[in-house]
Amino acid sequence: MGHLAVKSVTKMYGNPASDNTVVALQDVTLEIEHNSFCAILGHSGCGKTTLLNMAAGFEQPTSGQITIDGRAITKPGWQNTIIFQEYALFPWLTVAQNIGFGLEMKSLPSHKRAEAIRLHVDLVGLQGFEGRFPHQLSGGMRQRVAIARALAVRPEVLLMDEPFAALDAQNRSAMQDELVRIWQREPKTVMLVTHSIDEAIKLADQVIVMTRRPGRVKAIIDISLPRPRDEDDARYLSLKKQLRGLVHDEF
Amino acid sequence: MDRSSATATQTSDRPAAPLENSSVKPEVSPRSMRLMIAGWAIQALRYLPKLATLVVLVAIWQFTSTVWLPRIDPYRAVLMPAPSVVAKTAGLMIVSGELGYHLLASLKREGVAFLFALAAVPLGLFMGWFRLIHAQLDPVIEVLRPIPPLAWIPLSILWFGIGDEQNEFIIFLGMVFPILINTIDGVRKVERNLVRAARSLGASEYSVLTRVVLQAALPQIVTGIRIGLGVGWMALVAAELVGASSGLGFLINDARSVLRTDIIVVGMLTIGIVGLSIDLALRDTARRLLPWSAQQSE
Ligand SMILES: Nc1ncnc2c1ncn2[C@@H]1O[C@H](COP(=O)(O)OP(=O)(O)O)[C@@H](O)[C@H]1O
Ligand SMILES: [Mg+2]
Repeated sequence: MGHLAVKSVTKMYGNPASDNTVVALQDVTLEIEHNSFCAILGHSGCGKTTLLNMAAGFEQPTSGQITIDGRAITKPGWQNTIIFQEYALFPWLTVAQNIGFGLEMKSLPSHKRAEAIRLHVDLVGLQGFEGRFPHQLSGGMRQRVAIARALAVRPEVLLMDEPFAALDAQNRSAMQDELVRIWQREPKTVMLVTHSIDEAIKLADQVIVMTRRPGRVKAIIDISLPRPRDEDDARYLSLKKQLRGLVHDEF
Repeated sequence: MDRSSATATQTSDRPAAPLENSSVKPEVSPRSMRLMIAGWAIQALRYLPKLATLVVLVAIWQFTSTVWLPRIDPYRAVLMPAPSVVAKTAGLMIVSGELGYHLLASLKREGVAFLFALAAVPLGLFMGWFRLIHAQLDPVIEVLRPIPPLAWIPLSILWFGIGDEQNEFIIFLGMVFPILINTIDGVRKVERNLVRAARSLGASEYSVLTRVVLQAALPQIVTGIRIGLGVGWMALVAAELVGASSGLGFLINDARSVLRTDIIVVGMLTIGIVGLSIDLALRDTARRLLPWSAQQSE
């Protein structure tokens, strides 16, 4: 299971006694159902990464709580694994070894590990590249490796911090389609951070619009369009208009 | 330093390519033989412009030692042995095994000292990773580091006497700080997201340290080892000048007392060539074992 709940979370940086504290997030509450895809949409600096870092267990909220199936997140682990914008692949490991890293950490026996690696190489379409090193791959392929590496540990919640922002427009669009395909084959609870309205509509069941700093939840929009989503569909266009209005307000 | 080394290896890589092409031919006909030899000749010619200055300098040296100096001051000619004399002496010393004996003695000291100096890798790993350990040990190291290894010679002779241990101690001191400093620096520069990714994939703190931090710092650790071996090699010769009865440093100092300048020059050239070879071998090994880092630095 993987029910993610963020309950009145506030995060402050800096010394609370002094003047130079930064309130990155203020009283954020949201819920992501099991196997549902949630996009957090907001301008840069509104605290999206901060929220994800806490969900990944790297940082603790100043107040409030983040839970998975009712258990508070206290430290990083494979249950709530994260995918970074810059991939963060281990450059000294091959594609297959990168994908197998988390499985090795879980002490999976080697024959099961090999089987899981093969399965996930197939899932992200990297057959034939198992022995390559990350520096020999394009940006899109590196992000596929990162996705396979994260899915291989079978996380309860998958966190993604602007995973396609480093790619060029064409690759980004292709990877978004790819992610939809992968997610449909292997449903997961996903919390994805983005500042792209299109990305949010293309991917998510639920879009959470954030305000500017300090980040608060401004609106929660449910999207029930069937996937893959057609950018020319009237409902897609009206959603886009609605979201643009919400995000634009913030200037 | 890295840039110059990169260009040096590029140029040494280049001549190999055409040779490989001509040698993959299945049968060796007289024609392909001729082609091969022509290929070699072209390669040699290509080298010539690079070595031109060296060749001219050796020629001037030869002329000065055999023609010019003997004419103006025969005594001084002894102080400047001709390249031809040096080459002959080198040949004799190689055949007799004398050069090999001293070289081996020096290499053994360098090797033993290096094994001890490798302790700087785990130490640097801990110092780079754990703030508390760094805070405690850094002052000690900052005080010891600026003391040149050679300044330890008098005390080390009193501690160890004259011989291998004393020499190895001096070499160790030359090696240990470059390795330690580079390891610490490499660990501190490890990308934060690599560590976070590992933790997020379920890695224990021990695995993070051994499987991620150590690996990510490895290229810089190797750089430290390269510098350390170089500094150690310099310290070695100095240590042997004073406190040894074998080794290349001893050889050249011993030859001085009997005015055998040709042996001195042979010893000096050997020190230079072996030092260079160690560095080249290490660089080549690093390139093969850490292909991903070579790619990154280029
Ligand atoms: N470690 C930190 N220390 C101080 N301020 C921080 C830290 N991390 C983030 N912030 C601040 O918190 C705010 C939100 O940052 P971030 O979560 O990175 O935004 P986003 O990912 O939406 O662009 C920013 O104003 C940023 O400067
Ligand atoms: Mg961010």
